[in-house]
Amino acid sequence: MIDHTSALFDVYNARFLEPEKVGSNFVASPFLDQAAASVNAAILGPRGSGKTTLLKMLTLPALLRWDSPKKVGFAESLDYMAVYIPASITWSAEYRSFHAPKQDQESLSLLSISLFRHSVLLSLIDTWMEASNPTLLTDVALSRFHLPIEDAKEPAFARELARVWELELRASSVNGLREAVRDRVRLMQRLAVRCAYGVSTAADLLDDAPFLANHFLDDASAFCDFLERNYGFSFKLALCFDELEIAVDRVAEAVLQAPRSIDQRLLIKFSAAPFVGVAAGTRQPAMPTQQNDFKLVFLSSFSAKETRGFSEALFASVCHKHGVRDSVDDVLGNSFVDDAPADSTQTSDGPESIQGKKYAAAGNYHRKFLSLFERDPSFRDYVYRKSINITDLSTGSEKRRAADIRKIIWPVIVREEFLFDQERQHPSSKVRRRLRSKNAISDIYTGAGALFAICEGNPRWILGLLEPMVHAYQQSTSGNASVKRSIQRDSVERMTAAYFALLSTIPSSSEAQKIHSLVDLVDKIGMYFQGSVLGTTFNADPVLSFVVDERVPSPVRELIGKGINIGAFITTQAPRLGAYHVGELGGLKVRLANIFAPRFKLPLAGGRTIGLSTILGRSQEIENLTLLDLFGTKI
Amino acid sequence: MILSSGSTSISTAELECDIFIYALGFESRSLTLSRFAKSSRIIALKMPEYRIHKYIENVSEAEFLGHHIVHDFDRFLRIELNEILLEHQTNDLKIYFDISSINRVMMFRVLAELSRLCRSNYKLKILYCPAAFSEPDWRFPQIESLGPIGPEFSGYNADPSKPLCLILGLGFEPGVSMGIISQLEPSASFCFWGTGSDSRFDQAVRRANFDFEFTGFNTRTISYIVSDPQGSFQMIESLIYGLARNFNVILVPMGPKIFSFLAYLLALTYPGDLAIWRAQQRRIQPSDAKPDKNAVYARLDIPTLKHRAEEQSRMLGQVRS
Repeated sequence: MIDHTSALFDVYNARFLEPEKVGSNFVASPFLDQAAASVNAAILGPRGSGKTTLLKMLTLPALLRWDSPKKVGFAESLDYMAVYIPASITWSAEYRSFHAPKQDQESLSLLSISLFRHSVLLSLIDTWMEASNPTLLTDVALSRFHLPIEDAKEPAFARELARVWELELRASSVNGLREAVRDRVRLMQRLAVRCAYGVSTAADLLDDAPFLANHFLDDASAFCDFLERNYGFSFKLALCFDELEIAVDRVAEAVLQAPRSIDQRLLIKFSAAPFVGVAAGTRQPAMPTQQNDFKLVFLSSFSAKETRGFSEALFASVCHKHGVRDSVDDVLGNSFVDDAPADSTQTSDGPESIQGKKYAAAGNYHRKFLSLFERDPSFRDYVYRKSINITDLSTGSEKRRAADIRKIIWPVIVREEFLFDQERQHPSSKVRRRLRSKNAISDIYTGAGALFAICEGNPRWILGLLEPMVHAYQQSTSGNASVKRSIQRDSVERMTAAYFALLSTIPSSSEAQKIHSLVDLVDKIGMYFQGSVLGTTFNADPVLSFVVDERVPSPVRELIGKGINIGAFITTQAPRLGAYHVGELGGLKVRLANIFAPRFKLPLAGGRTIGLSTILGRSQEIENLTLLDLFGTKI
Repeated sequence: MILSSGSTSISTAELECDIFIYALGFESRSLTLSRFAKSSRIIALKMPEYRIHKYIENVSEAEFLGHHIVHDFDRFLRIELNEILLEHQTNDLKIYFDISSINRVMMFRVLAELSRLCRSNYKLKILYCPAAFSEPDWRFPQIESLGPIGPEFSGYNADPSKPLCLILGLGFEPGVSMGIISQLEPSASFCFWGTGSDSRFDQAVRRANFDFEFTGFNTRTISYIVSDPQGSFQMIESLIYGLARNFNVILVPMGPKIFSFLAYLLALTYPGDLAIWRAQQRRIQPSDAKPDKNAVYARLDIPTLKHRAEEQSRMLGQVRS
């Protein structure tokens, strides 16, 4: 197949890549084994977190092109052939009826499910074609999946499938099958137009086109029968449904219920953003749960440190692509994150001597501590109260440092950076407490560690933010100097701006607590967190996360869900006891994505958790944000 | 499809015609061109009542000037427009349609009816009065809904298994284009931005669209000259011609109304294949648009327009039956 997109532009999104290309560029994800296990699986993660890549990696063309020592063992362990099934809102009949008041929802649902069913048929045909590739025979681990389509047998095969799928063939070939599906799709699109004009009801549609009642699980079972009959195929089929959150409700419902299929030859894997509206809105017994129906694979990590390894590996692959052989630190330079713990509660894992250097006089931490000690009376009080030796932070054991120093590094860095006038030259001059320029991105958010933390291990963000920097580094004429901080600041600012733009367009029905949009909600929470870090009194354990408690109004909960889906909020997975229902939010621990840290002047680390209703209750009223409020006139 | 186009000063514009149609709404520019029109019949399509900016003054002025104010838009399209055309016995009727203050859905419906009803020797001219620059509203609007302008513009013959390509007309609503691209995640996007009237607009469009840097998405940005509808149509049409074979193409007209007019012509050129979508936005209060000094015009090739409208109608008739 011709890859039209890559011929046009560069591609950052796995959705647009053929599986072969995904396989050849794949950087092993820590979640691959979980996603690939021979069980039903729900792969949940925000946009850009690599869900599509994981599902595409299970397909034969991707595995064939994957060049990794891990590949053979991985491929040999598979007892199924994966069928990748993409989602697109343009398949939905509901997107064909705008401004048509006569539309009948039942008809549109019927058409949407059938349109989706035909997308599944195309995927089954594609998978069969991919399995017919003779190159598979050269691969030790994948040759057992080879399904040759001999010229002499092709017409009979095509007719057999057309019969079980109730398609009308114009040509008895695999391409004829595809055309038959496309003819059907066009027919359904026209039926959608008729529905929009109020010409047909659901009952009329079923009378005229009985195939609309067919279900994709029956098609998949029929396909298994076909493979068994003609090839003696004894493996399972894994139906891999991608991006469930963009499917219309009835389609999402059908896929969510699919793990309860009685055909043991089928595995169901679906990827979705964590909040799937249709699942959240119902507690029907038919809805699958984590314990009973599927294994949960959660792609986002609450701690930025957990994603660091993957981010570095992906970055290294980008560098390799651009012919850059230098280290991450050479290209992007160091950051405070590289010194400070990303999670203030964790203890050091480095040798005592190395850790000690960071705390020693003239070390990075010490300079910050001393500077804040001079300027911030509330911090001085804290230091005296805790008996911290401010002249030498390296004294005492690592355990003691973890208890007293490490856990407050981020609050100290942020207060020192933002709270006081930085232009003060002489120690005796008067200290002025003021917030620095509201639009500037600080250098504490630049450098390798900070940039990785901001990207949250999200491949799309990593590629979008860092690939241009690698390119700039490669083109640079200034020797081996790392990418200029000014370039890094501008890039972060642009990425944040674009991200706010994206948030601003997310539809919201909320008018609760004067929150009209996701931007309002993020701003309220961000400003509350900022107050906790940069308040009048030094706070050693500022509030930086929240729990979606019972008192949060339902429209705000829905906004939180949309924010999680789009990556604005990061959650821990299912913290409660018992089964996790896809789409559930209650009790989840949530923090703002690090992409907002530069805007709200927040630590790139975790903090204390309180109820969201408390945050919203205590937040000050906000004006509607504008582009200029957020970014001044720089853009 | 467009015989000639260009831009001229409003005060010297040739506005002598038999029927002059415009939209009567809250914008300051709503009546601007109608004031210079020399026509025995000036038809004011009353927009949904929104008593802001110049709405009350505009309605009063239209009443005072004796414009024929259309209160029932559906009836106007269904019955009245045809009757008005029949009243004129002449074979070379001149109809001018000022699209400056009309919304996109109404514009498409009027154009569709005119395409159907006009005789081959009629003259149909589209007029557009660009807004004078004023500081845009930098508040972020929300996209309330996104979808085809109507079933006939849904791309009912397109193949949804092909990769999606978006063609966007950019406006200066902050972040909207980015939001649409992010929501639809097309394989490729072409973003058209109108230029050539006031460099401050150019700057505002750039700012609202983040300097055209849609990081993470495959986009190309192309400028078009607002005062050259003919050249702009040819450019976009040839792009779509090249894309249609490999992509499922959706066009989302935002920005200057003239781009929406071009979108209508493009939909007629690719009936059933090209989808035209509308991004309905929610703002606390829409902005006013004061008139600039010039008017843009486009004279349409009626026989071609009629032929394509009939073809679209025939295809749609088949779909509906």
